[in-house]
Amino acid sequence: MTSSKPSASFRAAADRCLTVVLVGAAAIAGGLVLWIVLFIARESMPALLSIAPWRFATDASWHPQDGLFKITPMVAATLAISLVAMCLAAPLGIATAMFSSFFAPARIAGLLRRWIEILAGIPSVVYGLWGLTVLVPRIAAIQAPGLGLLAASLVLALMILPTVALTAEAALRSVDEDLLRGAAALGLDRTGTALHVALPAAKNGIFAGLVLATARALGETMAVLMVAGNVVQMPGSLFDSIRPLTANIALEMGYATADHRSVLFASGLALMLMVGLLVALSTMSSPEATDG
Amino acid sequence: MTTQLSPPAIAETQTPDSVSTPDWAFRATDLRIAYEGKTVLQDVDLNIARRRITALIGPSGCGKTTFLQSLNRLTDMIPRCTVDGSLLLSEQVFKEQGFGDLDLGSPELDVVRLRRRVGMIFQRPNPFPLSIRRNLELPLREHGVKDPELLRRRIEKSLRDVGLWDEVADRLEQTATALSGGQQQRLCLARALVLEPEILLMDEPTSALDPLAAAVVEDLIQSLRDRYTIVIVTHNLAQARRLADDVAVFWVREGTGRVIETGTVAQIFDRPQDPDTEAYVRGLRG
Repeated sequence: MTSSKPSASFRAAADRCLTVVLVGAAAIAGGLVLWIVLFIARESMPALLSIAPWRFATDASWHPQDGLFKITPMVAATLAISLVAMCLAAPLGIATAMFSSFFAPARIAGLLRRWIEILAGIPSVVYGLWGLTVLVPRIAAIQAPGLGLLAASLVLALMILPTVALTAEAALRSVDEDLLRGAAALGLDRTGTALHVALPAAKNGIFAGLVLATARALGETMAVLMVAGNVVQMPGSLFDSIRPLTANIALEMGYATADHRSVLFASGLALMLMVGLLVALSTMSSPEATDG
Repeated sequence: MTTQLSPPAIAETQTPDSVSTPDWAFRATDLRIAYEGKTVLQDVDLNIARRRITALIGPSGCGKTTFLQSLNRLTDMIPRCTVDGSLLLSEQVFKEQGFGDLDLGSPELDVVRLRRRVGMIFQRPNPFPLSIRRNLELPLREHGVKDPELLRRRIEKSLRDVGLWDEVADRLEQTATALSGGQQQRLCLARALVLEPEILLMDEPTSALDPLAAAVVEDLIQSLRDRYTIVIVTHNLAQARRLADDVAVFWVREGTGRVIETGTVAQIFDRPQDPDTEAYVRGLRG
């Protein structure tokens, strides 16, 4: 045969070759995640084995060098910051998405989307700087010191707003045209269509976005570290200085040894568990899992 | 006192065997519809009779659905779609107002009120992802019906009208998307009927259903005869023949859709005048 087409055996070999490369890449990606999880679990082991688990809640305080490992105030701080941030970002983000999908002229909607994408690209340390120099003094004017739950939540809300808005917008935009035409044919106006038809139709996608944003909020470190005040105490009011788990790890890892170091790994493991639970929750509530 | 409620002999008179009956619902004159400047339908002169079933037939892509959508101004949802010429909705349909015939091309037209009188059924059943009850309650509430007892009664009535009541009465709170395709389409019909419209537009309402469900929906459409003005797009010629009183044949000529022939179902199927109509209804072309 004089044709320049590759022979069947050559093509089969090429297929095999590519398959090997792709399997390898997938294995590396999957393996890395597993490796990280196992590594963190292994480093947490000494703490989990030598320190009774309830002591994380019952110890008098967080003084790791004295063998006191109360981490519940930091867990509470992480949850409080994420909760307040979500309470601010979820309605704002969903409202923004509703506006750009149903009420804004196409040009404005496009600009708004671009703008929010830029917001998503700002490094977290820049948010932290902005919070420190702009937000904190204003909050301090109401109640000193300004560094604390409110500042951290506001900065965090701004950071997760793009995630909420962009995923909600994508979900609203992918609502079946037939549903929107059906709503219009029944004489529903824009508000009725957006609120009563599109929003329920997009709720799974919006919920998935909220979970993603919560996961990001739980794990965010730098920006909250800069504005939270980092005092280890139970959050009692919006103005309290608090220290979330992530900030604690970042602040103390540099000098921690022995049990202290291991407890920091354990708190990392706890963060991963929280995020993992959230992802599992979102998977379970997805339409594929509930319908049928 | 004697009850003197002799109704003024509701036009059940023997309507002449022709579409040009004076009792019309829609009247299109020299209608032209274009997408982004490209004409898809032109020279449409068509009267659609009141309280009769008019089938729009013809091959795909000749503007039947577009024409149907212009009748309730759903063409508004298509970007850069323009409708020229005259399209009137008879004042009979909005009788209570007495403002004369309604110009469907007018930018000031209140489309919400129009669509309350002109319902629509789509090819693919499109129940909202809400409960069965909410699907019917939503349009009623949007049009100002708030009284719980009235809501309940009208929901039940419309479900009975489509033969769905006995099937879903005990699960009104379940999501409508869990119903079978045929049930969904009947729910969509109930959702249109719940607003008590005068006119129903149907865009191939049975083509996405299995044959049994399609037969149920078709029977249902039969049962609405004489009470509603129905305009139905269908590719199923046998269905057009079974359902329609009047037929309008759409065809592409010189690159754009046109209406090439109109008449009663007997005229179109038994004595077609246009050679394309003849070939089409005999299954030879289209």
